[in-house]
Amino acid sequence: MNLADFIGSILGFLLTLLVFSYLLGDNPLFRLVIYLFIGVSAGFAGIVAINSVLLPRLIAPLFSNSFPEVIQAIVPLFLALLLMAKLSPRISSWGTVPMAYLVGVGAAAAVGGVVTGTLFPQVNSSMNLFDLQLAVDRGMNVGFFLVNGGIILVGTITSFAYFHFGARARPNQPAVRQPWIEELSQIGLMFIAITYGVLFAGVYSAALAALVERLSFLVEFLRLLLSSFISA
Amino acid sequence: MNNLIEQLPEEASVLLVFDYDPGFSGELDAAATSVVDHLISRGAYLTLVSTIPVGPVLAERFLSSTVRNNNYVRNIHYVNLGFIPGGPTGLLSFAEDLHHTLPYTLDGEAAWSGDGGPVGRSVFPPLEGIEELSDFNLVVILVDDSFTARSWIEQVQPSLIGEGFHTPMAMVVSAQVEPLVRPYYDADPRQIQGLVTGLRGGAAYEQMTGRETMPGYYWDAFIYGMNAAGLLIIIGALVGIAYTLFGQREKEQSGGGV
Repeated sequence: MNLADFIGSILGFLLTLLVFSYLLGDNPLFRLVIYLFIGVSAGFAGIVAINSVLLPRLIAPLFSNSFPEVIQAIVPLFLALLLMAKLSPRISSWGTVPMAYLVGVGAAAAVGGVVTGTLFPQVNSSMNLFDLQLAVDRGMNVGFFLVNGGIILVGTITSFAYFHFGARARPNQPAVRQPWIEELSQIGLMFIAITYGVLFAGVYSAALAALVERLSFLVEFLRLLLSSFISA
Repeated sequence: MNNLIEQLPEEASVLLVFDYDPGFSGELDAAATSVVDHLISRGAYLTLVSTIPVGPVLAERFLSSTVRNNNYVRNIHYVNLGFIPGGPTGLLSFAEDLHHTLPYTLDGEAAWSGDGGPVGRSVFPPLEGIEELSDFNLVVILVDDSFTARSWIEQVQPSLIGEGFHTPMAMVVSAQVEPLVRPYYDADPRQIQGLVTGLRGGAAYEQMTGRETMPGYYWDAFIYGMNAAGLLIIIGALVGIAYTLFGQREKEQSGGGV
């Protein structure tokens, strides 16, 4: 272990202990680590933005010998300057054009992606749930394949029913859904509850893995420290 | 995942995406170590990218310390193209025009047109012959949140499939992301061709490929933690039921209700 690694390990050890001090309640040492983390993260993100985005892609092309490259840099630079006008209430309207551009392009990319990357392929896949030829091709048990497809189909349809809020308006009475939709939505609620359970287990599992890694780091560091003292 | 890596040709080009925060590195490093170790043992050239600012540094840390005993040299066996700005829009741009979206390496060197050569040539062996994203032999994404995972599938995966070519996309994900990513893996046709999930997936991959990258006590502590949580939930539920039943009986004995 070189000096930089050693100093890094000591810092990691101390900061981990300070974060764990939150178990005893909120305290200044814990808050110090959190402020430090936020500061380092913000500073690092700023450096990456300057070093990896602004300097090579916005500033450097301005001094290029290629005219198209200069133009390609001037347009985003102009839009970025207009966007900075949003910081001042007096001239904030100047930032409307780049803002509209950002929202428009962002929304178009996101919606296009959802439609072609999730909606169509997933609907197509759901329609293939009962393709028995597929089960045979994949060497799966046909009965199991059908049961699996049936569960997914029932879960999808009843979950859709749960989110169906169409109800006939009746004067002076609460809105009530059609009885058959209500029945389906109760089944859908069960599937949604199971989904929440799976999501919770996943989140817990991820958090537990992080905890195990940190505890393992503490133990390993102490072991290393002790062994180096003993050998010295 | 194992089959995907086993089927890679010699000196394959693999795009490796590091899209996780440092807070999840404990889980994802453990899950991904055996996968990346497998890639390295197959002699794959690695190209690293990330859509989060801290990702490129995590990638360097991962390759230099987490994957033990690797003799991979930066800019020879692997190249770090750094940060892709712009979220989903940036990813779309990356899929459409790789060279203009990431023109430089993390060191600030021109990635693609070394020695003033034509576009598509590179002085870096991992980028040699890479004109488009589909020229990679495999795309592996290490990701800790479902939005980013979906963005890669929605914006990038369609550009990996076309007439006469199909570059597989695989993911190593945090356990909290699995329920939202699995439908893409279970879909027919599959939208992602490989999936390794959290510590459990990492351990399973290790076992399958005969590797020992994860310390044994790591897995034991995880199992005990999971069992403890399950036990606590069951005890809590039983106490809750008992409290409700006895509370109701007491209420009935004392005359009941309001």
